[in-house]
Amino acid sequence: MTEYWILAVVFLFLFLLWVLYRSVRKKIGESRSRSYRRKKKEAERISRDGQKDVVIDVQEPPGDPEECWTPRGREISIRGHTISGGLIYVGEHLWNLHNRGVEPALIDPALPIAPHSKRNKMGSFKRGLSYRRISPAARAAYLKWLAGGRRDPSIDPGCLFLFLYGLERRALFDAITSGAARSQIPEIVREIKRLLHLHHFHDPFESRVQDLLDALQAAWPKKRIHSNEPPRGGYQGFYSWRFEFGLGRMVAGNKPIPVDWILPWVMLHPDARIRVPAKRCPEELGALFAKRFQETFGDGVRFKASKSRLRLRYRPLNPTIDYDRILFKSNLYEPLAPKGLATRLFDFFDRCQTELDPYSRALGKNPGARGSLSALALLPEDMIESCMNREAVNFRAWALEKSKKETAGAEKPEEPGALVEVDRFFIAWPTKEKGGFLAPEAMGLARLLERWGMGVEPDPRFGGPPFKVGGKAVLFELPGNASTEPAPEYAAAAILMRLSVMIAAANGDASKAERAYLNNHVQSDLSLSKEEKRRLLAHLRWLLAANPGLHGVKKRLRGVSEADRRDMGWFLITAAGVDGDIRPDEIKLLVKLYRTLDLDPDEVYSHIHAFSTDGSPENGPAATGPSDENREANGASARPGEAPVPGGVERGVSLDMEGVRRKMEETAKVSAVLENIFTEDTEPPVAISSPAPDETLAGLDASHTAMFRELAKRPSWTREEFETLALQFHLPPDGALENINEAAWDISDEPLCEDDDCIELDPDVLKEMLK
Amino acid sequence: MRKNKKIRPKMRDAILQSLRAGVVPRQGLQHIQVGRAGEVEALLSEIERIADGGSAIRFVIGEYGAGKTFFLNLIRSIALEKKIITAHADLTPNRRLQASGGQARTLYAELMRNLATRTKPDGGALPGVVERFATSALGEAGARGVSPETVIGERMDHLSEMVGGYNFATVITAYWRGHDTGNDQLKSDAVRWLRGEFSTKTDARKALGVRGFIDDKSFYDHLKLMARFVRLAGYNGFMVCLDEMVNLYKIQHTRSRNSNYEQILRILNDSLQGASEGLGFLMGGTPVFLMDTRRGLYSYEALQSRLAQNTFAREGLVDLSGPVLRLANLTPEDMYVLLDKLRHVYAAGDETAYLVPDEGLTAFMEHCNKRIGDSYFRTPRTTIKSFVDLLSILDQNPDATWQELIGQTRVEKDPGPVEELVENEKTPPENDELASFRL
Repeated sequence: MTEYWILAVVFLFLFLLWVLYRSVRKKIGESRSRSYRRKKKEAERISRDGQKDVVIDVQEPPGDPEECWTPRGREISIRGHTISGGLIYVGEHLWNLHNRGVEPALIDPALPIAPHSKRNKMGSFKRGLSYRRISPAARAAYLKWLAGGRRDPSIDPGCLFLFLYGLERRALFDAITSGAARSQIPEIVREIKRLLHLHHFHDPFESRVQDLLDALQAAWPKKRIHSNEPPRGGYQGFYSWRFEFGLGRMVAGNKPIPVDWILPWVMLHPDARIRVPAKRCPEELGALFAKRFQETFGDGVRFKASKSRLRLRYRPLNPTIDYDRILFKSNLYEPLAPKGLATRLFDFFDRCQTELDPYSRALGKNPGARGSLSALALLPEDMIESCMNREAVNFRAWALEKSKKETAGAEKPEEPGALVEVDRFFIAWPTKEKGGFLAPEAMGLARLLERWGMGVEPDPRFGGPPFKVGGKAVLFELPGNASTEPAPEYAAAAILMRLSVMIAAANGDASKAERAYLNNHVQSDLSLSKEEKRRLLAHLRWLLAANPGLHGVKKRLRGVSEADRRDMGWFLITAAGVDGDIRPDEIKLLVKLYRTLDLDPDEVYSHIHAFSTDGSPENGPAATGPSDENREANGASARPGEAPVPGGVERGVSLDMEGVRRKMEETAKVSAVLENIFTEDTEPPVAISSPAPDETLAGLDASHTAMFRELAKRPSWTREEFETLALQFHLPPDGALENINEAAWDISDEPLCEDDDCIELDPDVLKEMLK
Repeated sequence: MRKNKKIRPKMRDAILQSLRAGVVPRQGLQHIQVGRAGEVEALLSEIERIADGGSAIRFVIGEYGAGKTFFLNLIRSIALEKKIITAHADLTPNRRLQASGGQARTLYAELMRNLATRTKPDGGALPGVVERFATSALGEAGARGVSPETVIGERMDHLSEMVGGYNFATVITAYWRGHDTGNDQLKSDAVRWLRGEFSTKTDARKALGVRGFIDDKSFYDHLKLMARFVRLAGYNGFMVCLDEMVNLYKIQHTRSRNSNYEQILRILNDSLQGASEGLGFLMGGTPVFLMDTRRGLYSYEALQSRLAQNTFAREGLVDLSGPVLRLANLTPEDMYVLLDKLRHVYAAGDETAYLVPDEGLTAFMEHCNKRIGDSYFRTPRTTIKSFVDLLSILDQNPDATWQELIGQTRVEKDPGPVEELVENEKTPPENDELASFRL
């Protein structure tokens, strides 16, 4: 028992030892990792230090701008770049105007520069540029530009602005206190003008640089701001000085404000809704706005002058300069749009943007599409003309030339337009899908062509399939007043043509006769207008070239009445038979088409038969049985193109007496022929090959004559008696009777006796035979 | 225009009786034929070709009610008049051109039963024809001073060279033997054999000593033999009229339908090439039978190319020379002329005895139109029947006027073609041959 106790105590001791060891180890590890982290942070701080603003000691003096400013002509060398143009701040210490940091335009020669590399971008404008904060490579680029006389037009705009920050500070703010700075203003103005001339600033910077220039000119030489031209762009929420002045002057002169002023006014107004189209296609929007504005507002709208004077605020380029300081007050009154008018203008602008939405979206998907056919098709109609690119202009010229090629003449039926390869469309209009146009695209093209006075077939708006690579299309001239959607008559006629072309092409190409037949049918269709006929002829031409088959026909047949479908069926039969013959493959196809037309396919045969005998469905299939009631009620026998005749039941008997007369004549003719046959007596009697002895009768041979003479003695014989008689003359009884009757028939057109149990002789015939 | 020739009372009665029963008359058709001069003339030339030892085949295609049967009968009676023997039969599910279950033999038997000569236009002329052959042989034997057997033997030599000709010749000789020895049993056996009534070899051998009989396979060969034989018997030729060919179209089983079409092709080829001597075929069918590309004649490639050749009537120009003869459907004008003809027949050709004036005809048509619509002229069977009934009432009641009777005449609508029960042959499954075969 005691051993157990000892063991337990030993184990407990060991366990305690282990716990102690664990806790000590953990403590040591923690202290190690803490010191590691601290060291790492320190290292990071040190490595960052070169990039960061030096924290400014409040006690430090702000530095003297006069010392740092380098005027034009003073040559200075920074890190190997010799800059002779001046107009920059160079030095190690100059506070910004807030006194809260280093002047961003200050070039600190102590800061390192890196050799030229890709990372020479200036960085974001929003956070504020600063020579101190840009990368060493960007610094190098900036110095290089300065050293090159600030002439490189492709310089990063950041460099320009960094430079402008300095000019701005010098001219607008140092000049307040320093005479030297004031005297440098003309030089600075010249420099800004030169830069404006040299560089194309993107909106909205141009207006801001312009503002700077205007501010300088207004502030120091006190020049009048010229503003006859409307500004180009700006910054939403702020109008440029020139703009405000211009507006103010127009309001003061009580002049209407023209559209080229209104558009910037709307676009820069803080309440305007600027959407994607305005940004993506400003030119098109401007043109559209001008057009619509002219229609709605005429020459312009009038603003009124508010009671307060026009104050001009200057927004400095340099973000470290105080914002929103009012620099000037004008004599003019602030121009103000009457409230209702402003709302109207905003709505109006929004509508213009909406009109451009599809176009803008297309440009968004494919920025290269500007002015191409595919984008043009999405523009409002009156914009197309002004927005075409060269490719579009070429295409239009080509299409117009093609569409004028008419082929008509005595030999050929009229065929409008010309058959063209669809691939030419693809060159002008690269489509999204490789294989062909999508339906909306094809519709767009059709609409474009229509605008240019042309029609195209197949036209998806009229039920045609979209263009496919390698396909054909027909371009034709079409008057502008033609309808843009199919009338029910046209739709039905187009389907009919489609089916007919299938029939015509069932055995290879459509024959000349078939083409002419279909053409004539279109020409003589009274339910179609002239333009529709023209379109249908072009459609027909396309069908003959492409033969698109049955795809989609069934869907379009839904609205067609049964009577019309029957007429169609009959027309197909006539179209198939127009070349004088309906071949089995045509029949096969007809059956298929009848099924498509929802007609009884078995009727095909009846109809072909009716057509092939007298070519009219009036005498079509026999109407028998209850299943045919419907057909009668639906006027099955109407010819295509005519109003369906009411069902046969109601129709009275109308005899064509001319027909009756003809029929009677034909009947008389056939009766004469038959009469001739049935009473003919000229042929020699049946040749019974034995030579006829002298005393034969009625063409019978000797033994038959003898038997006949015996037979003639009694008017009637029983069958047994007759057979006995025949045996006397060694003749088979049936054969003898057949021969005698044959002879009788030859003479008197009637048999001598009937083959019966009792054989009775016809006395008249007997008399004639005995003659 | 009107024939003033009297119509024989017997013929008149026969015509009227048939019409009242709703069937096509067997004789006197020339009195009621309306129009179709071109078609009749075309077939007349065919008949003459047959009579000259040539061959012919025509497919008479027309809708139900267009008068196919009438036309076939007319042509048949013309043929009879030209001393051509005719045989006619309607095809049914049990009578076909080619079969393995005895249907072709049945058709042959039916044809032989309906074998007609001018003197026996209603059929049953086979014994007469055979006897006439015997008689002519007898006459020749008498003239040449040889035994009749010798003459028959010589003549039969012409037949023996043909397929199945030897048996045929043996049977004919047996007939003569029966005649000569007064063995009526032998004679009637021989005629029965010729009619195709033997169905086993044993029976045939026992009765006539021949090894074969007329079966499904030899159907057409025997028709050819018969054609040769009737010419030997002194007739001009043999014409086979097959009506209701649409029954072939109705055969469900493709293989058996095609084998029938193959038989037609064989007949057609023989006819067009002149291989069959003095043999003509007339086949009546509907447009579906001809043109259906799945089951009609056009479904059989070889027939299609031979039959689809002739172009059809356009602008009054008619081509009737091809093997297919299309009968136009009837028109109200046809009906008018037909009614006119009927009253002419009823008056036995005496114009003064007409029971109904011209206005009566139109009034009657008007009445029918009201009752049954335009089927009164499309399927004229019932209209004709009613008209003949009307004439007969007028005839029996001289006091009654046509005006009051027309209103009371009952006209029933033709029920349409009788859909015969199509024999549903059990179609063997496509792949039952060697479906699973393993050694």
